[in-house]
Amino acid sequence: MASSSSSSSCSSSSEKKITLKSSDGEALNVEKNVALEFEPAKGFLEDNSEEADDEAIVVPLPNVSAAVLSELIPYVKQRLELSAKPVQKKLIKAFDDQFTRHLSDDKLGELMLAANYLGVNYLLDVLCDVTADRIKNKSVEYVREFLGIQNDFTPEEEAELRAQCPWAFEGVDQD
Amino acid sequence: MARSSGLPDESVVEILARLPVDSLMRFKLVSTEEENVLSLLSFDYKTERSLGEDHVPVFWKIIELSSYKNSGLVYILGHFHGIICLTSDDCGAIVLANPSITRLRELPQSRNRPSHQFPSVRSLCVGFGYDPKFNYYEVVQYRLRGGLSGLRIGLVFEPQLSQKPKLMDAAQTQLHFNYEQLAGRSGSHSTVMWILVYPLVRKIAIAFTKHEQVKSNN
Repeated sequence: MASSSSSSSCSSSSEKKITLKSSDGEALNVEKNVALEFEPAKGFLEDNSEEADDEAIVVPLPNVSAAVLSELIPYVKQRLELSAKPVQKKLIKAFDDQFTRHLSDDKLGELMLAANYLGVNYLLDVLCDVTADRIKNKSVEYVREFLGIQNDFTPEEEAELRAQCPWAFEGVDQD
Repeated sequence: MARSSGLPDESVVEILARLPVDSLMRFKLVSTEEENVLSLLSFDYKTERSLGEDHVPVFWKIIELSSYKNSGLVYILGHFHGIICLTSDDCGAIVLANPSITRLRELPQSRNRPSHQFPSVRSLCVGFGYDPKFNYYEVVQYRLRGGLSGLRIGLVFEPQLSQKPKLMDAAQTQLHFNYEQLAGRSGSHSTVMWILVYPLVRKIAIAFTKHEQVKSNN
């Protein structure tokens, strides 16, 4: 991750550090403005606003692992920096593309859960796009696997649904 | 029936809403839950197995025009890439509809709407077009203002950019419109549609057939 030296735009609030505690008990230091992008952290900080020293606050995020958080934090940080500047949407899109391109399917799912839990909607949006793109030409079996879903149709029901629209099962990519 | 991936329904719906028709039809088979999620999206496909000699499947789909304020008849202006452009009989509201994801988007009204200045004036005509060179979808209204000098209101939609719709007059600048969200990336599919008019229930029924098309490899 390239360290961005945004010396000019550092306000005092963004220098304050907050500690996030992941589901696996790891403590991660993040800038306060990054932490505020996470809904549960935002709520926690508001509830504990009488605490004078932000440094002393530890925000528990029991649904997100340290591995996922450490991917999310640089993303949110850079995304915040990008959207603070009057940059073209294209640049943000390119940044999003770069972030998502190398994600494995498993990682994609983990990030989507985390983004959903943390309320990072712009990331969720991008991840949904990527997921849709990955599964759109795939077989039913692949998508079951991808979404982790059990097939609960009877063979008869499945055959009937298949017969309703045979064209939908043509031209499907190899899994 | 829990998904072992743990993805909540909203996220699954969001993903499904971005898929083209054939993927959706296929993924109904993923599980009964997915079939339910899809039916929550009020996908209402009924197949007629044969139409004439060609045996082209025809799908009917009902779209609620609840966001469509104007009563009266609904007209189709045109369609491209599965997106249809609708308007009411007074051309007051223009709506882009994507039947494959059952999503409607009403275009914003022009600040420069002649009705403010000339309440009795109606549109002369409205058109919907696609510019393949720039990948823009265009809605153009010509309205009468006084005599025959038409006031042109041009809306240009740029699919690359995701922005809230905002309206500009053609003379000033272009309008950026979140096309991709509406399109659900079904750009490579060709649909042929027509509309039946239900003035009272404000629903449109769209029948569309899927024709074989040389798929662009993208």
